[in-house]
Amino acid sequence: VSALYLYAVVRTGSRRPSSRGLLGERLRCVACGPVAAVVGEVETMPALSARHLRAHDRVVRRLARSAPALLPARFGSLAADEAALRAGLAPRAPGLRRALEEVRGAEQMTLRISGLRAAPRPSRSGARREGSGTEYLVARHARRTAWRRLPGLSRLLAGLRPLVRGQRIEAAESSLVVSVYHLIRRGTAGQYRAAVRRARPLAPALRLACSGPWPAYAFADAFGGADDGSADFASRAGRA
Amino acid sequence: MTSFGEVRGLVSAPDASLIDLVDHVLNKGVSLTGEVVLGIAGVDLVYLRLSALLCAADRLFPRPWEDAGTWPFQHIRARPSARAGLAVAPSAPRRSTGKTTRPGGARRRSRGRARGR
Repeated sequence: VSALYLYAVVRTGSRRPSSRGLLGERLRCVACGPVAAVVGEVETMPALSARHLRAHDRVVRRLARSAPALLPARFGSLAADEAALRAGLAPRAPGLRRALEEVRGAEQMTLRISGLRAAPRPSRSGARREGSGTEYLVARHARRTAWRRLPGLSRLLAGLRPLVRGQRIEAAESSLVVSVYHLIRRGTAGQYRAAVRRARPLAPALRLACSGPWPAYAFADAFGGADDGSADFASRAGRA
Repeated sequence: MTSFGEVRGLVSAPDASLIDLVDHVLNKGVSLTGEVVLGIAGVDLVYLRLSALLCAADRLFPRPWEDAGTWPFQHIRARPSARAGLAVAPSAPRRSTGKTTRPGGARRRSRGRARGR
């Protein structure tokens, strides 16, 4: 029994992929309205391993080189057949089409920012006063938005803004790391890194780690995709 | 089927780029159904996601919770996911840290204070 392994979503009419999938399978496009899924037919599901994650990413990157607009698929997305694939994509097709326009000619850079220890945290005496649901929710909201108070974060992001076409921010409630995903024009990763180096003094209390360029993984579900309402905070440029 | 231990090894690998890869390739991107991914991995990806981010922090920055001794598992309990139906991986070892973020916990503490007065 075979299944279709999803690698990416592109515009309908994109060039037929010439590369192979992560198990060496031939790739093809399955159209679904304005978008098309790039899939490979697999007999077995690739196990979750570093090798297969890298292979998946390599396949996506190869596809991205020949497609100006591409939304990468998450590792392990399978459909039983073309009908099931279309059924999964059809409700999201309008949002995916908008997302494809958004990422056209763009790639992603990722910043991991730490510094939450410097942000105000609820005091122990304040925690002891938590007795009502309102107080609990207020305290929880404060923890969830602690990243906004990171010293220098807004200055840092403002320094990068000229290069950034889109932005998503994720900060877990109890995590010490804020992840900032930036969409930049393809080929400008070097300028972006240089801008990060220049902007770093604007936020001396923060620790930064920059990676990329990546295919636009973090922007694939940003516009009508599979937003699962997770606890993470996410925003686009201008709302952060 | 990938075991929990293998996944833990994966996200604990001393390779920051791998951690980024895990975050992007497993945690982002178009997905047809989340359940498929969960079935394949054999682990709760919400757990994996948390581990990935926490491990990324560990690779890049000092651990302020080093003395907790249960890293990263105590953080999982402190942040239940809003993803419907997805719970913490049952095989994740846990140890009470004496802290809770649940409303019930706050209520119990409140009763305790009332008795003490």
